[in-house]
Amino acid sequence: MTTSPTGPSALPLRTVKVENLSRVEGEGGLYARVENGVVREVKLDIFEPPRFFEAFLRGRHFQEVPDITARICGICPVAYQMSSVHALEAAMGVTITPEIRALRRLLYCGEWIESHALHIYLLQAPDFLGYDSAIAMAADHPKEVEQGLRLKKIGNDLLELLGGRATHPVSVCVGGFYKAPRRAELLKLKPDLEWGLEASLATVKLVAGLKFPDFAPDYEFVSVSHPDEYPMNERRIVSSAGVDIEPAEFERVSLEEHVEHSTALHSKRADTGRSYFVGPLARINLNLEKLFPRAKEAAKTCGIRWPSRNPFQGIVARAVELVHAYEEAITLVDAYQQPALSRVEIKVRAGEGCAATEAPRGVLYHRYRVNNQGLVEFARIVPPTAQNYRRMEDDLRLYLPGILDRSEPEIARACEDLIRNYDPCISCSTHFLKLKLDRE
Amino acid sequence: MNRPASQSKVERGAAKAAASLRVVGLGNPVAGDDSVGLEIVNRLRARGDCEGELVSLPQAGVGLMDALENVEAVLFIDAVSSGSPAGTLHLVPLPSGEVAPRALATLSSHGWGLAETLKLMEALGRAIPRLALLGVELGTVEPGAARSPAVEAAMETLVERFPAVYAFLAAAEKTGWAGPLRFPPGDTSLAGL
Repeated sequence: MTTSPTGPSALPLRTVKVENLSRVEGEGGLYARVENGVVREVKLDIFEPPRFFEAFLRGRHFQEVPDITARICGICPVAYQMSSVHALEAAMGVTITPEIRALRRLLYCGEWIESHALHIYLLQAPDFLGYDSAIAMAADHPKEVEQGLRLKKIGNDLLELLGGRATHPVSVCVGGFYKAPRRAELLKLKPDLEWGLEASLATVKLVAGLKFPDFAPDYEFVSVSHPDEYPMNERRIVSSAGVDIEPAEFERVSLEEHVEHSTALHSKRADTGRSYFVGPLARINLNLEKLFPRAKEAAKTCGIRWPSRNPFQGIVARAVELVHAYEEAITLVDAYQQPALSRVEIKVRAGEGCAATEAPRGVLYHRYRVNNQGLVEFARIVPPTAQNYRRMEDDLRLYLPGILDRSEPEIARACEDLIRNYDPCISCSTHFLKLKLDRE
Repeated sequence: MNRPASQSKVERGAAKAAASLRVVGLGNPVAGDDSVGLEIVNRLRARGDCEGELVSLPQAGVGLMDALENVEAVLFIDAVSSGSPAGTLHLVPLPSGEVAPRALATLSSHGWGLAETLKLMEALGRAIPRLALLGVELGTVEPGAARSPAVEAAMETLVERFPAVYAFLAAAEKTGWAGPLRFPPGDTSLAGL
């Protein structure tokens, strides 16, 4: 980080730069201009080269898609696989079995576990406890960091068992799985999952006791919604402002646009042009009653009032979801019987389909058109972080005026903390953060 | 489509001294010479007579710590950039001043590597096994590029002479290690091992 040679807030123009935002997935920058105490401009500079996955997919066989889209992210590859297989199954009229559906949910639980544990303990906890890194924090809080590492590892173990490997799993296909695990293999994980459930309940208590800045914008929260389940794989998309649509209507409601300072697209409401918020906080706010029992109890007794509009309390939402993911994983493992067929037969036909699933960071929408040979003619992928960028910029506009009396490094750090609430995966959207603050 | 499905799994080589040494290949399989550590482990695995465990970690991140658990010694094989000619081999005991951690406060999760892993293990008070790095000086890390001819040649030498590397490490455990060894491109004798 570099700061201007000028001093504190009284000066008309000041500049703060954070060359790279730390503890996020990927790299990028932030620019803000403040004139006489008024925030004139905020830009998240997403400077990584665009990755062109949608173009790569054109002309590819549909069955290659989950393997290619998994490469979009090393932290949330399952999300990309899940949204792609559901969208392609919709395009070709494929119906999966309840057993495959349950196995997909279990795989998704593994990803939520490893991603949430990573973010809570290694990426965001240092913000609240006043450390620059998880390494610095580990020296004073080894027990908590060890707990986080073990929580994460169990998620990775689950992914490896179901997916063939923890990073970019290879077992997922359109129609199901190339291979389903044996029941005995899954049962071996149960003691770890049971430990993880207790540890994640302790995590909720830990993070709910943190001190949260007083900040609560008027958000529109958006998530997937299912009548009976906490949202993961299906199906409708709802919002706190009354949206309740099938995924096929998503592009009518949410509009992606290019902005000059970003290689990632920004999403906004098509009608109002307003930003919206996706992720664990949105999910809990919109689906609290559908959490598994212990997760729901933890949410309701941890001292946070839901729905919460404080983005800093996203760490509590993430911890509650960690409980849910462990709890649901145990239930799914208990009920699991190895299916006779791990995937259903696909009858290739031309068609178009879309789906939205819940990546650890929020709604992930995919749409594909395939021809009668099963080759992809069109692909659209709208990642959660890209949907949140405009909301992050809005947050910064609202947050900056209240912290301008601080020193430049403190302002920079506070802005980083605010952005980390979103657990941004810049690589997915395309990558992240420099803060440059001009003040006049 | 190329599917290195076995890459994240620990595979045991010949039973000899299996728990004492773990050979861990690091790198990016689709970034030119950065794939060299992974490819060497693939070839050692195909050789079938290597000592210890063979592990490939194409995207290790925080999970790198798992590779350092329950083992006496770990040899990392990775592409390195030190300014030497491409194909130069470096055998370096770790920790070493030559492998410095990046500025920790500016790390994204993508910046997490071996140096950060060792720092975290140290902070947690975890036992760190004896460590060494077998580095292959890279030429290009262009995405999708083929490996440089000099790196290919170094790789062939290493795979062929790997028993000598293992013997050197085993001896160094008893007699100590004076410091980093370097072998220029084209040196197939690896004299000194």
